[in-house]
Amino acid sequence: MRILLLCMLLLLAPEFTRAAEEGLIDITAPATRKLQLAIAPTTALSGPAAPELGRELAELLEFDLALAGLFELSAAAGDGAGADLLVKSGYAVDGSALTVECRLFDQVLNRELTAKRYTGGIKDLRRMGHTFADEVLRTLTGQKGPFTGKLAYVTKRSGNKEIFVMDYDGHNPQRVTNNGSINLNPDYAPSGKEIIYTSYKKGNPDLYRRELFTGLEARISSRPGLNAMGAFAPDGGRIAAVLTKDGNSEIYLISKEGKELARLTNNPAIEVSPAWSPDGGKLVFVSDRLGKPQLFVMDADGSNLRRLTTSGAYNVTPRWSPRGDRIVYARQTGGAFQIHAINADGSQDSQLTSAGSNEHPRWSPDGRFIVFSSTRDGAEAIYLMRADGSAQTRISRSKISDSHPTWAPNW
Amino acid sequence: MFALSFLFHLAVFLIIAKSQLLPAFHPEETPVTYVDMVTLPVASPQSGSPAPAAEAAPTPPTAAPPATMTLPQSKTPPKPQAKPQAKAQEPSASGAKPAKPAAAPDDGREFSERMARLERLAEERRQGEVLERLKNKGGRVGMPGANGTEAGSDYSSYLQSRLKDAFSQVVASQTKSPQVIASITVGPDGRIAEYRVEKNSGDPLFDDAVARAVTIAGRSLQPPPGGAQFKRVFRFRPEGVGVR
Repeated sequence: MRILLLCMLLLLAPEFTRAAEEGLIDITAPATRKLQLAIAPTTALSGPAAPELGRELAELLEFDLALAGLFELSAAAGDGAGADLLVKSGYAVDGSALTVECRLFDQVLNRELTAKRYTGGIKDLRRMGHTFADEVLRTLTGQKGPFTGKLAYVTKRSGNKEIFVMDYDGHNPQRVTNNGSINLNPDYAPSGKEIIYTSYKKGNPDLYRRELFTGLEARISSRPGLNAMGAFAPDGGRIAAVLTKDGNSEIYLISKEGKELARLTNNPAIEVSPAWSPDGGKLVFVSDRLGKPQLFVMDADGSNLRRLTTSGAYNVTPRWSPRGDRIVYARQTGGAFQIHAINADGSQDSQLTSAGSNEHPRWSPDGRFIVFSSTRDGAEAIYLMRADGSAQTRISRSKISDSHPTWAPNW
Repeated sequence: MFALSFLFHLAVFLIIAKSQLLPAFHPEETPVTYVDMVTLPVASPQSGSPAPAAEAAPTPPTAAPPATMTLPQSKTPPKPQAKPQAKAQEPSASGAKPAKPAAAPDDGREFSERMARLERLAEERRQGEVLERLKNKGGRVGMPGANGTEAGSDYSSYLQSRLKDAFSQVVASQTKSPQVIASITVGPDGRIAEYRVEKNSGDPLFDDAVARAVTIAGRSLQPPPGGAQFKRVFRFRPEGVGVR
């Protein structure tokens, strides 16, 4: 009897829901718009005035928040009249110590959304600004921004291919390797505190793991042939890498200490460029088993192989988005490479770049941006753009070749 | 036992009906949409024709005038006929006596003009009486029969219009199909007395945009009619989202 009544209720439930929804009054708007955001000039809170610091902080906030794509920056009126949101900031200098206060106001709802105070040295000004820009995005969207994340990249500024790190906007470049050899393919550990990279410093292309803050380094794979294109798994304990120790380029799973865990591909073709899905359950990689380099997806144990890209004759260097829905890669078209993005199920392939040759795309840790290297202005340099291809912006400040960027995870 | 059997048969019937195995037993009804092409939604949508209180007092309906009048078609001098003239004269407010037959029965043109004039007078009077009856009867808001002072539709539409305007100014989202369902109560003073989100969109950007729209709309609302609170549930969404 009860089961019968339950069945009847279940049958009628959608009708009740529909009836309830029919009583709603619809309020629609034709399209979404950008939020009007005003950034007030930075003021001195106490101590001596340092207008250059205030100007740098305001410009930094303006650059970060304009790049986010959510805002239309309006004239920086002090009271933010007419804007939806207002950012106010102030600083206090005491010797070499610096205090920065930043606040975000909702001008319509007439309330303060967030307020932060940062203390440190004057040299930390930019980090404080990026941290508040991250906080603005977290407050408004629920997801922290990527602006405090560093970029690791390969540069020839010292004459050899060395690995450097810099702020995401190109400031504060710092050397990581200094071995006078060739160093390639840096990749961050999920902690953001370690990188792995391939170096020829001992003659063979070996795989190294390096702690960024201590400088400690370990050679984790020095098998005969190529030890390259290492990619940390999301769990931080495993690395997918390309080894040619058996005479052919195959994808292996090794521990972060270098112990071989599994061979994931076994095919006479060339298999390179493994990249993890954000849940660590799948890998996308490049194989020419069908004649031309194309993207393939397999489970993390090497099973369930399927082809991802069906168009384009030469598709390489894939990376899975942190949200798991898109995969970005480079496709060779007419002698140059262009960045494309495709859904993880193989649908909706779209070209994101068109100027120059563009390679090595990597996602920002929040999936909002893609960083890549491009020759559009002559020498190879690092650029970034929003995930939809808009706001393509040069990040490299040097005129020497910069390439192979990778964005540090949030930590 | 009987109840169990009844419920069982009802359940079977519902399953068959839900599965659409039976032909439709009622015709598809075309939804009726009222489009107010002239008046905009307003706060006190009481009427379309302002009228002093004295004029608004109900008056007894009067008898309907003759619906039609026929004119003589023949060009030959017609015989004077009293009946049509009497019909035309009957609703006259001046209480004029029925017209006598035409003095010159051979003057057809004069007769036709007179008949046409009488017909016009009768038609004007008939229309006036119909309009007067509608005014006195009382009817839907915004119709001639209502008694207020402002043209327009009802307060729901007024509030919907104000919210829609405000929402268009501030709408923002980062997801593809956000929807917010919220109940809004307007107090007797025209201020937003309560804004409660029944179901958020999961997109903070969109949720905040809805809150801003309600705040903006609430700055200039007219009070609800009758000095009472007014509460409705609204669904906010970008156009084309969530439509079944």
